[in-house]
Amino acid sequence: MEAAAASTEIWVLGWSAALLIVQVIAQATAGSDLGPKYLFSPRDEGRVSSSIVAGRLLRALHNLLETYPAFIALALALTVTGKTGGLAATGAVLWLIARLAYVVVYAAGIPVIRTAIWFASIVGLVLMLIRLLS
Amino acid sequence: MASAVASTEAAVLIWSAGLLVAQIFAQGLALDLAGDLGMRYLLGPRDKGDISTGVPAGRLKRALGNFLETYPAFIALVLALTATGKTGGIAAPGAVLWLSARAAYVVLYAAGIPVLRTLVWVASMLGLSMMLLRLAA
Repeated sequence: MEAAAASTEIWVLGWSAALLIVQVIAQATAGSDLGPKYLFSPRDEGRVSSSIVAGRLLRALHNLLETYPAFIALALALTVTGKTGGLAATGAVLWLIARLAYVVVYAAGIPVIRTAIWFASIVGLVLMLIRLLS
Repeated sequence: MASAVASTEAAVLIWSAGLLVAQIFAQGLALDLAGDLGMRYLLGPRDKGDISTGVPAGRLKRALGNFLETYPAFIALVLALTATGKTGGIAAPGAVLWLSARAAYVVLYAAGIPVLRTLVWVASMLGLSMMLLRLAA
């Protein structure tokens, strides 16, 4: 296949995978109050960490996973149709910055701004969608 | 755009879809076999939010949830490597390591084997990191 040139969108896609891996590891290690014995076990008792930060990181991870497939789909659809760049590149960067800020603001427990940042991430996706459909 | 040559990463991607479907069926079957919720409830809209107390059903559900946490990253990496012509190198063994680890993970989880399950999970994350390194290179 004629390789697509590394675009902003592919660059952002690579960093988004890194962000997901960091969020998964952060969330997994934040629940250490359950103790290594329970965490290594098959967790049949369904215990939940009492750590506030662990709960926040879990919810932030699930929020990322809600729209992450759409971001991947858009970045790759733009790449295979040769439509990367323009509004889509701006949208992808906006999306990544917003997702990064989102998890930090969520972990810190800052209200309202977190929701505004979430909106910014959706705007980023919409910019990518507009470019794909244009 | 010409079609991409079949790569190790693309083959692993296909098998990963097979693994996902198998995990979904296994989890659904375990839920049926647990029997505590009853077929009538399972076929209904499940409005009460009842959770099965079946041990295998719980383990398979958690294993599936764990798989879904990082599966999008794997898909993104395979397709980004393919689109940019960067398959191969450290990415190919990374993809194979990831799939082997994910298949072992669900078996170990269902069997209730501790510690090793977590080590296998770490191996799957290592596989993803190898693919990421290749994409970034």
